[in-house]
Amino acid sequence: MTHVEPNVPKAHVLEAKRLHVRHPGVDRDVLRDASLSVLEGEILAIVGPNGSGKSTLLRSLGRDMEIRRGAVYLEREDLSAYPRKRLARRMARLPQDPLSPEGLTVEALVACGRSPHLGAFSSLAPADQDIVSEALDAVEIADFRTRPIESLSGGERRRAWIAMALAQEPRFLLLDEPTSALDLRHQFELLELLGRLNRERGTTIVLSIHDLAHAALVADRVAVLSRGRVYAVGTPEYVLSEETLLDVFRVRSKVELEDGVLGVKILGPGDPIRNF
Amino acid sequence: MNSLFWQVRSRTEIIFDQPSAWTLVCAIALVVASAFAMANGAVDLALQELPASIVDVDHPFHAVIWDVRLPRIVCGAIVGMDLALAGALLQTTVRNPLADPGILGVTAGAGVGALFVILFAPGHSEWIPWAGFAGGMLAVGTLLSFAAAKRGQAGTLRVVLSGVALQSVLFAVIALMTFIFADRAPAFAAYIVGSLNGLGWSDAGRMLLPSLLGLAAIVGIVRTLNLLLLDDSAAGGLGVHVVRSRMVAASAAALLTAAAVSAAGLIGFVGLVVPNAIRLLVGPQHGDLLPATALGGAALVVVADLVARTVLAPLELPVGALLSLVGGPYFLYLLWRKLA
Repeated sequence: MTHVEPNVPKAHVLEAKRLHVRHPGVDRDVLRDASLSVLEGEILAIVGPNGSGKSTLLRSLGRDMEIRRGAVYLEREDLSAYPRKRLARRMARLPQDPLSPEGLTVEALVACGRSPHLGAFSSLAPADQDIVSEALDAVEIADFRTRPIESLSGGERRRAWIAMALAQEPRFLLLDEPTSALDLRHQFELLELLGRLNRERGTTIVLSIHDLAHAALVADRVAVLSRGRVYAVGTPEYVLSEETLLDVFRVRSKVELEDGVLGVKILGPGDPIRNF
Repeated sequence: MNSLFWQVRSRTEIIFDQPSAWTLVCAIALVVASAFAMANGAVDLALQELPASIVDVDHPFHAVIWDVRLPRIVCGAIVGMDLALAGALLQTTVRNPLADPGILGVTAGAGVGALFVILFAPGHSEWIPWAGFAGGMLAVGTLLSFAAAKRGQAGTLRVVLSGVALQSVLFAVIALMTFIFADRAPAFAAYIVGSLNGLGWSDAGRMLLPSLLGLAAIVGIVRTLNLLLLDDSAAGGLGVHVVRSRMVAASAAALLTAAAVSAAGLIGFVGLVVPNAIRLLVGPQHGDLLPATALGGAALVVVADLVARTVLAPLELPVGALLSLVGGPYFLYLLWRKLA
């Protein structure tokens, strides 16, 4: 168990400093002066309305976006100068809706996760095979190992990609809306899995997520994004207040803590809804 | 939803459960095709006489086999291997099974480059593949800037349409060059469909170095190619320099294409038909796909050329015409399946 007590100060291991980022071909910044520190061994959830820059911030943390101004630091090293393969050994990222080639088996996909650890011409060693099997077991898709990705359901496919990320044996795991397109049960199982990874392997996890109750359930801390800036960061109880919801999401709500579970009830729009 | 690959695979698994078995099948096909191609032609030879005629210097067929048929078979095999591998590389590079050096205009680009040497440096046939490579790279560069990883149908059509547009411009250049310099240019019709007529050992020798370099490049990037099959973002997350790897793969494809064009002109569809067919049997992983594709492409061109020079003997048809006759409908089928 590497879970650290809340009062012990933890190292800032992944830091975004004053980021300005825009999408290619758009002359407007999606992130405008966004800063965020990720602490060692925590689960940090990034929430915010559509277009607030959740995915962009997450992708910037994983060096999957071109940064115009500002910088991201991984363990005090500038991420833009970090060697590719070394980064892939430290950090795994899961795109929102990754493509997979027709005919690729689950096992072959998960084995791709070992490639940052292999030399240019070496192939999978028995130790690598074991790690692949472990990853398949961890997400409970070992039964499907020889099946093609395209034959799996949405939830199974998502788990296969997570297994690939696990096979990278990363210290950092970045997931872009991992629960989207999953049914309620699968959403819950996925959050469970992330919690387990975090507890058992000490993996630092950053994820973007839409559902605030889920964010509160899984995350140690929540970062709320609003219009390309970080509006607030802190524990779910502290950040996910009725005030924040009105300010950022423009909804009236009732937030209550019950048996340690944060309940978020949306009452209605915070301001008059325009007729389209 | 089950892909065609898995339907085919689940049936063929009963015969071969190892993808490498298909490489062996392709190798045997190449050997058998070559034997028939050596025995048959303007004058036929019984197959059982073949070993004697190869070894025995005094055999009446010895000269025909060594000076005419064998170099042509070797040329056909290299051309087929190069084009099939180039097709597989391009399909991975633009992540689209419809890619083919012909359809994307890489063959035509190499054809323009080769034509420049043929017309303006007639004594330097050894430059032809390298000039072709330069022309092919221009086509590849144009193509990659269009292909920029768009998903879905829009992306599929974009790549194919930009290739078709590029190809028609390059065809026009070839037409103009062969028309203006009709005295020393190769015949437009034969050049544009491609043929192996009259090829000898020197043509095979000219293809050797660029083909070997192309193969060496493939060996160096084979695992990266597997990662390129994934999403750009996912491949980048696994430590792949996506843009650079794609450029290396496409350059190797241009080099292999240029080698083939330098001997046989603009043969099309080998790069489309062979990798797609092999992929149905062995799956998308390049360690399985590329060896079988190389041998399968070689076998296909040797067989097609055998048919081309015997079916209406003594008339020798251009092998490229036969291949397009098969490849064109196959392309339509793939397009229909992709867009359906």
